Amino acid sequence: MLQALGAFVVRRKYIVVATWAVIILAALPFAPRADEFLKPGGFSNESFPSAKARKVLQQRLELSTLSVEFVFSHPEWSPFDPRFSDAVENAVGGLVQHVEIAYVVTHLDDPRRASTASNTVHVTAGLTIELEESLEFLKTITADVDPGPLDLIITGGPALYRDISLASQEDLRRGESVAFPLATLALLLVFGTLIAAILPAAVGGGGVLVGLGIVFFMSQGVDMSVFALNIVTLLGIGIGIDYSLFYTSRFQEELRGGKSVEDAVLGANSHAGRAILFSAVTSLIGLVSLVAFPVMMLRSVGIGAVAVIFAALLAALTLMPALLAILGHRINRFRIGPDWAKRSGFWVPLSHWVMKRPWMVLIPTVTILVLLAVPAASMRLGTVDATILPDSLESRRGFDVLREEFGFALKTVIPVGYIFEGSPFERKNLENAYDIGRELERLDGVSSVTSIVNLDPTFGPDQYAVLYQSPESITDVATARIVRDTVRDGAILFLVESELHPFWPETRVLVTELRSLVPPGDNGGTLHVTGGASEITDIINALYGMFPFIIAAVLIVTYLSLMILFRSVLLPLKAVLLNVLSILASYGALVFVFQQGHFSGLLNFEAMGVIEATLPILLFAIIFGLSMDYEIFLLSRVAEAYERTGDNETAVAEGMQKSGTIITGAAGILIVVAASFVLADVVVVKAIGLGLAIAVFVDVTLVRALVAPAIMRIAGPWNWWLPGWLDRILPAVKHDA
Amino acid sequence: MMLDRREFRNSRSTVLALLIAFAVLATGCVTSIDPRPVPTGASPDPTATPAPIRFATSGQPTGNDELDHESRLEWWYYSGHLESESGREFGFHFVVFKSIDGTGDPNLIAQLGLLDVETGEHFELYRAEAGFEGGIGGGGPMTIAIADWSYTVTSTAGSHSFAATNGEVELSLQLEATTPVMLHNEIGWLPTETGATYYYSWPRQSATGELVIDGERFEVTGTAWFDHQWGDFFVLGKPAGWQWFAIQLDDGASLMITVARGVSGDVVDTYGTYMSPTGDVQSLRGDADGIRVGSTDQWTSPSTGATYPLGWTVEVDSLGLELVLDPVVLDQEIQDGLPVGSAYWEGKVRVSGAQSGRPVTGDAYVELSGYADPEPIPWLRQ
Repeated sequence: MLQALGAFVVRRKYIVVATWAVIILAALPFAPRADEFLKPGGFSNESFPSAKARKVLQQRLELSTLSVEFVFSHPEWSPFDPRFSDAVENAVGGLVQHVEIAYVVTHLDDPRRASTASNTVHVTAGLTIELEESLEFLKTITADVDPGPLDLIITGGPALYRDISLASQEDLRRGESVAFPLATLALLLVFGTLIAAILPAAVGGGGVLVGLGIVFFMSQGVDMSVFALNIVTLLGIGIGIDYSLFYTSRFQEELRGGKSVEDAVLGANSHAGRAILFSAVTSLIGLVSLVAFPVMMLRSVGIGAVAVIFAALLAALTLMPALLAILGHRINRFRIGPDWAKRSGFWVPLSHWVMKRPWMVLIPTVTILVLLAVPAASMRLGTVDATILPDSLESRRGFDVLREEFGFALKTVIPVGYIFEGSPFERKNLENAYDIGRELERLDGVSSVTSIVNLDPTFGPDQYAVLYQSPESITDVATARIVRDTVRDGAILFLVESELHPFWPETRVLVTELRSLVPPGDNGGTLHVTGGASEITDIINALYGMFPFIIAAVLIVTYLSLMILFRSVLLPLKAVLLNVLSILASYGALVFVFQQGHFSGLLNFEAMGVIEATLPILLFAIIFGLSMDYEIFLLSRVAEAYERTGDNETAVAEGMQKSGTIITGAAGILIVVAASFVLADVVVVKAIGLGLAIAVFVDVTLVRALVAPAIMRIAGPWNWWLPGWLDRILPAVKHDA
Repeated sequence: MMLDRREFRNSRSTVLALLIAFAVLATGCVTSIDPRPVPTGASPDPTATPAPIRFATSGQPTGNDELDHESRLEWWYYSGHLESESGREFGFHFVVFKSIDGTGDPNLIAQLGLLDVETGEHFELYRAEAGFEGGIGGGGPMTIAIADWSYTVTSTAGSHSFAATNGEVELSLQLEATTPVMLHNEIGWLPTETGATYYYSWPRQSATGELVIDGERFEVTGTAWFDHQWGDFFVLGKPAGWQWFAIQLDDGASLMITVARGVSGDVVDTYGTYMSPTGDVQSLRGDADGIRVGSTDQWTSPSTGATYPLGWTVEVDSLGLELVLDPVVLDQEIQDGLPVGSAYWEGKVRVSGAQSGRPVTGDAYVELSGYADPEPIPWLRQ
């Protein structure tokens, strides 16, 4: 099939190139607009119990879960200085006229919103609209609020999401502007000639443009996260260049073997083309698995990655052979670097050195890999907050002020709604609520509960019945606020406070325990648990309930694909296990750096204390496919040599020699591209870049250069063992086509 | 890489089997939670037995109830009568409210009401702040900063000071108790419909300090009345509320009378405490001691719309007292820094009358709470 495709492309090379030119030109106006319909965030899902509970509480308790925070300050005036208070009232006085605003609370309504230590005040405007609409509305109220003599920072949900989008776009531009030139330099180093170096970059770049064009159109029909764009671009550049590089190098090798240009293209197509096809399949297996997760961010990375990998594969199998057929020997023009093919290299001596002492190499190398993976055992999963943003952005600075001055985000508040029939002040409903409130106070990890029936531990239903005989008569400011804000007909809100951090696993246990409670009485009462901690619980439950099964599915499918390709039981097993080791090592590095905060100064980020919950899954999907690329490129050459020579050691040495430089070069390019995303401002993108760079580095050095030949030497003829019955049922694939 | 038909069928069935296995595994990922019924019949924590109120004494560095407590509500309350060196009269009311709602640091509100008797002008100032670093559990002194105001309770019983300003009006006073302490309801502890409160007074404190009004400075002296209340209780507004009278008779006697209305608006308790000129304290109960309070006039606040009874008769049969109280100025309402329903009238009044036939005069401060309509709760009225 590949041969037929190659022959067709060579025959119609000008038509193929022209077709691609049209496709790329058509994609050109849309690729830069790929982010236009992407949505910020995408870490949650509206079908999660927390989201459903949020909607119930929004409806029954008019609970506004989205707010804009205005942080006012003055270098000299104290918050209760009439000049300060007047300026705040003038600034936010008109806000309540917007129908999108449910309430405005200033420090004059609630003195806890003022810090006299730093002359800072925060004013909350609760919104009645959803996040997407709020981004546009934010522009309106930002223009409306004139702080006068005060300094103003605007933060809160809409501002944070706006800045996440802006920072992601900036990261993308920065990543691309660094990645492309560096990748081209690396290509120059690998090929040594200008044309050969530019070609993969051009074909890879063309693939990315087309992939981004596809994202532009797909995102109009399917919800896709803005985070997907960075990852999709990273993958597109890395994989696109990888494929083109393998193809070009094989073409050069065929030419050096004395073949005509046409035969060299056909040879490259059947050898490199097959390896690329299988690489793409294994990459897609991992990345398609992301679509199964009920989180928009992962799903959109899966969809986007499929688009760019598909585009890269198509470009490598059609555009590349057509261009090579046109260029012919001119591919080797303009030499400006070393010709690696003429050098004996160090791959053969290295492989022989390893195969002479396989256990001596294997044991310490695997030990190093295991040690690298050890920190992964202490991984704490969480989700993102504003600390993923750089502190140069307004919303992040505002978040920092709220955290430092007013204790935001340092402890957990879990809203639990009690929904029932009747008035909240009816005796039986008060009694039920009282029982619930007392039970909530007793749960492990709960430090306090705020509700109309948790005001005083010495109060029982009798006292509360007296207190709420005339609820408007309550003069106590805090209690009056609780009655006004946390009660409606048929609904009582409990705010369960815990000293546990929202990200901690113990908090998720608490959320689960809260959800297990069944309210007493016969008033049809139900409990609804929402809030950030509940959302994190849902995200992690959804992701990691499925993750083991998805890992198993990916491993099995990959194993079977490789078994078909290599006609071996052991080699696919080795490939899969070594990949898992590479991934674990990158997990370890992630924990060491981003959770524990090592090198945070150097890499310019604030340690998250947790690993963003989607990261391990994302990295698994990306790294598994990419590492498998290298394994396939290596083993293809080994299998090809083994089929020819029938000697295991010779085949391993030859395979390493033929693929070593290219794999190193390809990996080098991918490391450069991935590492350029370490410059990102958004910590999640930074972590993906670093995790990927480390995984590929570990994979190409320790795993492919040392562990792989050692294991293959130890296994000897077992490398190529395949039971007869299995051989008969597996589809046949010949390496020496 | 060519597949023959049989191999294709085999590989297709393998892929199908894998997909089915994957789908089955994926559907098994739903996490289940075992329901647990909330136990019914929960009971409140027992109410603590009231402990004796303790004051700072030499050699006892801890246990000074003049300082702050970890209670839901607490207030330190002063009302008094000042005179400048030239004889110009002023009345003042200074209070620090502290409330703990369990959701953060205590909230503090401090208010100053100042009456210039000569001009009839009534000034109202306030400051509010969250957060407080007081002397909980210590022996004192305790200093509370409420923005740019300060309030201090020293380690000497009945010795306090405060300073309050808004740029236009400034008042700083040093206050020293000149009588024994007055524990209300005999032990200084009062149960109410909605919780219990500790309550004691220094019915006479000498006041010395400085007053500035619009840049004019006065050295002032006078007599103040101090109340300190704390406890886990709730204050209810209209129709609940109270009338409170802090009367300082010229013969040296002091009298506190409270008429408390419950949540239904009916009077639920009338009580008082009398301290003779020699410092003897006598608790008074409405019926037993024949306490009767009547009003002679009323006044409606133009700013809150609340109608207050202004002008009273106070009779206490057991003391032989028949008093008439007249407000010096009608508008002595305090509302700044509080919700509209918490507005109250706190005013300087003149006292005249007789005790067992003997004419008596004096000064007093009267507090009227629960007359302003509360802020409506919109959802409740729908």
